Amino acid sequence: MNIKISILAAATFVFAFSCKKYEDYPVERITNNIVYDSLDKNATYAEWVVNGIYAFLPNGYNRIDNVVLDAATDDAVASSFGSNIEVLGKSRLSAVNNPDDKWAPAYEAIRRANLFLANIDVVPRDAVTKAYWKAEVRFIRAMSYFELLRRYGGVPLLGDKAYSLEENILVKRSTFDEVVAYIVQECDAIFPSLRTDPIDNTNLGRITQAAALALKSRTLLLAASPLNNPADDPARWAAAAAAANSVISLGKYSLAGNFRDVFTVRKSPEVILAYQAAQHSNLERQNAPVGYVEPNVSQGYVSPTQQLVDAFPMLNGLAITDAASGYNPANPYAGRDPRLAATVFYNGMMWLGRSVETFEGGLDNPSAEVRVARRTRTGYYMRKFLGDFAAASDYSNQNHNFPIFRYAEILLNYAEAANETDNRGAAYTQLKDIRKRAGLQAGADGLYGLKANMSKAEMREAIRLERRLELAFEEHRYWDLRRWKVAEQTLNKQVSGVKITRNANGTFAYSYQPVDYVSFAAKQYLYPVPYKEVTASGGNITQNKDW
Amino acid sequence: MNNYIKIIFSLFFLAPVAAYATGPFFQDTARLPLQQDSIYPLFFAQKQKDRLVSAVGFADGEALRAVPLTGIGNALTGRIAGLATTQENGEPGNDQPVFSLRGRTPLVLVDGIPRNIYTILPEQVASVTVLKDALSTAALGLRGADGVIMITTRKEAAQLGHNMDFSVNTGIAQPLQQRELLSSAAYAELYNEALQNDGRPALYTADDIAKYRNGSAPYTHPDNNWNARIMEKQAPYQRYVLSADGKTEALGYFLSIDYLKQEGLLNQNSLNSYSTNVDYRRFGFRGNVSIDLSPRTKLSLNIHGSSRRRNAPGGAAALSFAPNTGRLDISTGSVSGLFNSILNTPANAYPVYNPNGSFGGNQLFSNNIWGQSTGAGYSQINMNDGLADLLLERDMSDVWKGWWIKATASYTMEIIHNIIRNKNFATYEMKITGANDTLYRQFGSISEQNNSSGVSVRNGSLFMDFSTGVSRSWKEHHLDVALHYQRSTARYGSQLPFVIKNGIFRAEYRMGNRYIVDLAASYSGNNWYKPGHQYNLYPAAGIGWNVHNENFFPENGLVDHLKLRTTYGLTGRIDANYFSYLYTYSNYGSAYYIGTGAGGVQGTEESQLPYVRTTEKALKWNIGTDIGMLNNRATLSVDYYRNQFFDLLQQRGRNTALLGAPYPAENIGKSLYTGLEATARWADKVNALDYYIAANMAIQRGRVTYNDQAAQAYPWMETTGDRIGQQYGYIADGFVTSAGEGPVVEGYRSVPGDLKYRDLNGDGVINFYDVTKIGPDKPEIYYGISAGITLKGFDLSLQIAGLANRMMSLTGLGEWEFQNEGRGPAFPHHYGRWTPETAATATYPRLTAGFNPNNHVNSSFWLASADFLRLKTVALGYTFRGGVLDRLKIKGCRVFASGYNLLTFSGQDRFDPENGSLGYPLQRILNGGISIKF
Repeated sequence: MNIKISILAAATFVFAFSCKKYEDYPVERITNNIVYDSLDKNATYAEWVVNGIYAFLPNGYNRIDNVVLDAATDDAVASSFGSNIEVLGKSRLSAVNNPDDKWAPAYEAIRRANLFLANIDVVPRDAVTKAYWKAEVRFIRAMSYFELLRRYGGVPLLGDKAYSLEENILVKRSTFDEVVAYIVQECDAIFPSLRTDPIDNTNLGRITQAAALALKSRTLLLAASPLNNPADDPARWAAAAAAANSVISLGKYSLAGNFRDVFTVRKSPEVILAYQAAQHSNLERQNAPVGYVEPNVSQGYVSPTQQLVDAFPMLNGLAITDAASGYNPANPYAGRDPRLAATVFYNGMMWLGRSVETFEGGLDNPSAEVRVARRTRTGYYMRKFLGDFAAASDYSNQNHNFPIFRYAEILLNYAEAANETDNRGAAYTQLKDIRKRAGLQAGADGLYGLKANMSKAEMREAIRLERRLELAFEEHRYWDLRRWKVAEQTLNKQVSGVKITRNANGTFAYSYQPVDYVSFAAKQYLYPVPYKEVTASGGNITQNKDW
Repeated sequence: MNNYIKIIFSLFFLAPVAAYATGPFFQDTARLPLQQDSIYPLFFAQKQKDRLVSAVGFADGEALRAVPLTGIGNALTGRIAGLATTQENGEPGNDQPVFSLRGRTPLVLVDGIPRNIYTILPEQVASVTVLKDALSTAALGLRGADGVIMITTRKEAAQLGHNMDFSVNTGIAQPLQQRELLSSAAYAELYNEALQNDGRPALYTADDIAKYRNGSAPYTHPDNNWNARIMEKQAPYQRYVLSADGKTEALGYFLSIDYLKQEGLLNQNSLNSYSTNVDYRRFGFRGNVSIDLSPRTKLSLNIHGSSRRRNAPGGAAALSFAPNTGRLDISTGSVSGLFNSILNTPANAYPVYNPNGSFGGNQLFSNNIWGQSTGAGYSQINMNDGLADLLLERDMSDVWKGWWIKATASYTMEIIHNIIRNKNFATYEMKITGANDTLYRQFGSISEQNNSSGVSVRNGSLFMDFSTGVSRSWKEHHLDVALHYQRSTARYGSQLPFVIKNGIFRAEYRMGNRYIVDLAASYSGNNWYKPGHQYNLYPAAGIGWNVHNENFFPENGLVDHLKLRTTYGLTGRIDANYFSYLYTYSNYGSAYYIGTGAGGVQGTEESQLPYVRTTEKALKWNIGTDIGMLNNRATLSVDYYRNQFFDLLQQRGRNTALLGAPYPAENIGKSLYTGLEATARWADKVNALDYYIAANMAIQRGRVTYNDQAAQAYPWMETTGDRIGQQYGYIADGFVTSAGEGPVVEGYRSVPGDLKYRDLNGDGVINFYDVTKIGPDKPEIYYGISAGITLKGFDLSLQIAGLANRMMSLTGLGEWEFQNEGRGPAFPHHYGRWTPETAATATYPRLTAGFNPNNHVNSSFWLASADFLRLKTVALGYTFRGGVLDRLKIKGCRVFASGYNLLTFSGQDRFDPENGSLGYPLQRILNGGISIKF
């Protein structure tokens, strides 16, 4: 073989394999100018961006280690020992361990919103739709700031700025009042651009004008509350009352006829904004008593406390401690506020065609040798939000849209703020409406068991009790106790449960015993800012007091 | 071809030619005094030992073959200073170790090209070269920084003639230590104690415990030993290898066919007509042929193919894949799940079978382990790969003296095909209600075999090298210069090809075999990086001084070899991430739900923020010496290195969530690896007795020198300067003796027997401000000892490997009691728990039924030494020669017995110190066989 052939062969070798067959970079990637396409009249991707931002609305239910946030209060305990909710309920919270940390997700929502607002104008979708989207996105941004506000106090306000990697992000924390002002100002600004209520079926779940008003109401109530209003400035209460009243005077919402329907009907006259989800039966499987078998195996993650059960009045509206209430300790669940049965599972209630058995050794509170993952620690399971499976044989998918704002809360917001501004008449009206809908008896005085002529302090307690009952497990009490600055008193105690013994003749004997404790340290009124944020800020982000 | 050209030219050449040419039958070069003319294969080059200035480790294939192993990886353990191996899994076909070379994970090359180590069998290996420093890896450009394990396959025979070798190996594999669980009775007693500690009522009555103990109620009160139930005590394996090499005037070849069958250690259910064991079968062949087309032209063709099949119980096969290194890890999820189940299931959880023959189970444990092992069907992973290398080389001395050219092309393909024939089984809880009425409650559902198959990986890669060079000598001056252009293209699934282009310049100047100056530089780049940032230059240089070749060097027979050498250079490490410089969005389904219908709406979101990556880099300095004494019977090599890594990818320290998006990894980090390596050997021959003993040791320290950490609240929270892999936690400070005593974890209400911790910041509580470095800060030490003798026909060799100064954190699975909400098992070491009576001697905190937020956290209490020393291999053989064999034309016949992982010495008696015994056990192998040479 001569040299030429060798060289030729070698050259062929190299070039045979070196021709270009692929693009230089993956051209299928969706770039910024495809998402915000100046030629796309449908704004397909831009709309999807909005959809993605919607998912940052606050959700609830069993979101912390399979239990509800309120299991960190005196309303419930986790059925499992050593659940992560104890970090919140037993003062083990720290700047590096917070199961309810919302710092990063909130700022992620804010970034997405700001990027959308900065880019959407190039997309040739019709102006009306774009205006809706912008307002919706701004609402979610404001809502994210609210979620930050009640957890951490004042946080950095970024305005419309979405930072890039190259920028050194050195923003100071704004004050509590500045964040409140920002949220209120945003709510006011977007109000005219939002869809009006009631919303049509196609757009159900989208943010409406009432949602903006409701956010404003909740924000101003937080600002007027004792934690943030130590001087008890009446102007703040007045502002809170006015904001709540503006939702009422909108005249578009009303209390649903049936308390239970609020949580399982996709479109309720009471729900102002809910976290939308596909139908499912996960909630039933997570929360129903543990004694059901395939295919209805249920986990019973939450054990409501005796304290919560005892807080529910009798059907006549009187507290069970009231001698006139007619409460029978030998039959403690009879003749109670109907909301009790809608909120907790108690012994003898019907579920999936049989009675719930939470007595000692019953199917849902079995003896030791029965191998179940967990059993109720209090004698109760959480019933709220679940579909009606009293008589059904198997679970089926249900609507489970977590109510972010519902009308009953607005009424209670209004009652609370009105009472503080000495408008007790308004407070009575709201409480009566809520108790009436709950199914309590009006009584001869038409007060639904409320004491007549209550003082401001008495009325305050009545409203606080009503919030606990009406809004149980909806992530209100956890925040309310902080907002009212009573957590140190309310959340440092033993919580108890019931021990039910079935007698030979089929009757039950009830005894009560402590099952666990909750604890709260004063510094917990605000969460610690995540440690990493403090160190990374170079001194701009200060840690909250005592953390 | 003259000898000189042969050295320069024959890339991929059979390694120690001298050893093969002159060595006796079955001779192991390791047993000979160090040969100064041994030839070390390097990356697309090779060098005599005398000319070498790089830090290079070398293991001869012949020695590796003495080990009864199915893969080459574990055979390297303890043989090369600086190369450490950790075997994490013993599952057949998935049992290759993780390598660590000078603290980093090296690239594995087979004949110069990154390949899956599972495809190579020891019989095909001529040698393994470990490239440790900058000079030896500079030619690899952006793949060199972590060092390289270079496997060279056998090529044509060294001498004219034909040889054939047929060998049969058969042996058994036995599991090394597995974690023991408590029996039902012991478990129940401790569980009751734990409940009592937590203020909860006892679960088991005295009657229950008695039943557990006497086994009188096996269905309601079972006592299972799951390890014994699902594991065999031993499993057989067989290997057949037929190989041939030869050489004629115009043709040289190496051919090999091998078959391996290794059975798993899982027990089988005789009712199954199929295997649910983790069996491994491998069939492979290799043919390396070279033809002299003309006296100056040589064409070589290497072909290789292997087909491997792994069987596993149940369904899923998990696949993880690292395109940058070509490493492919396949684990059958179902096997690790099985061992996970064992460590999570107390002995009394459920009976294996109910009285009616169904699988036992209950709501808590609905997954019967025996069912998981034998009742869930099976799956097969079929891995097929093939490659063809074509090499053409031409000596151009007829045109210009010393000139040569060479071209190489190699194509590899790999296809992984999964066949999944799994099924679901149900378990049943038996309940006796009333008189003789037995109810069975079902958990899970039964399904027929669900048959599916799919090709999970389809890779192809093409590698090319075109090179030319000149070798010239003038008097005592020698100059070798070479230029390479290399291009490798790898395709993975639907991704754009991963292309590395590499231009290499090499020059070596020698003066009288005394002074050596060696330069190598690579300009290499990758297409997944952003244009403009794709290419970098990686230069390196080394100098060597063969002092013994100086005239002044005394020839007194004491020191006869002395070399000083040092190298310095820049190397790169690619971690490209698929086009991570592009700013893109991605779509996802069901982002949210809008409207009264139930359908979700789509979402679009920003992908990972773009960052223009470059390679990670390392500036490496190595200085070493090689000494030979007493006629080179004693040799010693010592190397010191200092490798400064920089541009390491990590998230910036001051990353804030205010950005609203996760920060990408950026080229920020720096670390420093330093170490000392020494290899010493004594080899001699006394009459007919050949013997050698060799030892190597590496002291290695890796430190994070810069990690961009933001200023911390307290100095002990700073991590800059810490050892790489440092553990962090609280410092344990004895046990609580009275309720409420502290300091304990913030918010925790202590009871006697809980752990106390050191309150570093003095605020009275234990929280993240008190987390600091735990464990010692000593460098890690790896060592190995090998020894061998040959006497007449006998040969005996052994290999020991060990490590020191490594701590492991004994936390979580297999360590803590009653995990998973109290469902988990307990272990014998929990008998050392704190009780009021044993307060003074307790070795474990008081027991908790479930997670304990104070005790079950990282702390110095859980640290334990993972030091160990293992007798890795012993091989004994006898070779028959001559006599009848001659008449049968048999050149030799060796019968042998060998063992692997025979003895382990460590401070841990509950688990194997190498892998922690959390998964499929490592194995001891006892092997015997015969090898016949024709």
